[in-house]
Amino acid sequence: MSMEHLGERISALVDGELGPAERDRALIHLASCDSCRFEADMLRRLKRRLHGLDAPDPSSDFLGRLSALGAGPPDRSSEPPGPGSGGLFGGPPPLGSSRPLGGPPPAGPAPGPAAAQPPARRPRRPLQAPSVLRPGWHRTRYAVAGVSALALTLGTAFVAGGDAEQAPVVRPSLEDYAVEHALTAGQAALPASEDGAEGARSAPGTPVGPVAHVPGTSGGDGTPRAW
Amino acid sequence: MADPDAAVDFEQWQPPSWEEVVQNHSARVYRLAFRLTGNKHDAEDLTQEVFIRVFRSLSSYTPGTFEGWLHRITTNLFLDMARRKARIRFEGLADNAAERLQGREPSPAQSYDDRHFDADVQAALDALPAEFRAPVVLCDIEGLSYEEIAATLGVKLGTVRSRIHRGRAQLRKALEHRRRLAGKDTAGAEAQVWTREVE
Repeated sequence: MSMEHLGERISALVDGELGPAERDRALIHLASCDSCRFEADMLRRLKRRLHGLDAPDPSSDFLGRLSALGAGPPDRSSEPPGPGSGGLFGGPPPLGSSRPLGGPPPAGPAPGPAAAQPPARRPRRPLQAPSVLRPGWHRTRYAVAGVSALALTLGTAFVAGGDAEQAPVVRPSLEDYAVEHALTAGQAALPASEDGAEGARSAPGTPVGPVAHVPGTSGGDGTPRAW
Repeated sequence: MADPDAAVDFEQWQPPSWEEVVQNHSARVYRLAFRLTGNKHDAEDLTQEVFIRVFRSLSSYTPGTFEGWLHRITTNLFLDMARRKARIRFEGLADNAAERLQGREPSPAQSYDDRHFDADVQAALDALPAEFRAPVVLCDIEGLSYEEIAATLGVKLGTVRSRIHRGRAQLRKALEHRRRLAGKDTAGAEAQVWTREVE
């Protein structure tokens, strides 16, 4: 035992975290020590297997919830809910296209002031939001989480907390999200399907009957308009 | 995904919009959260907690520091969560275990090897105490250096090295134990596949 085994230096060696001198010494030791060489080999395999683990992507439902976190800052609750608030969440153009480099700040969402707003208004209660959301932490074990379930959880949590000020923060944005989600997820948009049903119902009543019906359903059922 | 903002003058620089932040960072945070927590629901909860913090500090965002900061808060929130859970682990343990097993159910499309080994590795990772799991995940899955991990966890470099080493030793032990169990159960195919993997 003229030279002791590498011990935890073997992990550092495998990770490339030894200094040059220490690494040389470790490599010299490895050359003459079967057991450390075996260890190093096993650690490399383990590292590869860990690295090869595949993690799932977040679900689109969940991404919607994350986006909704930023969609309803307190100062926006006074504004009328309109297309602008929906756009903040689900703007279809690729990110970055809305804000050229060095250009003027985005007109709509104004993230700076919006983000600064909660701490500014509630300087003594920075932990309010997480403590309100924390019940979900335990509850998710029992419930299949969906957007509507989260809406309920948040809604009741806010009410239970007696914090009337914050209630409008969440609810409008989730409603916006539900509509946006229906659109972006490719589900039948309500106006389009109603149009289609209307067209199909009214078509037999028109004088030309089938002739008018065919272009009516293929061209006028809302497909080009909705998308 | 290189951040073009990094090259922009500070005077002209604008904090990113919330959309951009969610779009650019959510998948990364979520994957780290999934590896740390080992299941979908906790990963979502953890990711949400992280983004609540991000939302609050968006105005003080500075380019170049964001990714490191995300690692730090994700990992530290996970450690907080693990400590809370350790305190309450007797309540609802059965529910949690059932749900975790279900959540890890592999898709039929995966090959036998992947299914078998990934599930084993993840299970072994889950069994690791959080203090060891975090540095191992940050090192081997996230590819952080010891120095970055030390900064992330707020511990010394030597502590990182020792925790990674001990964490891996425990992982290996757990995996070997599982291999032996698998060998007993279905001595044929599984043992052969494992042997190929190990040698």
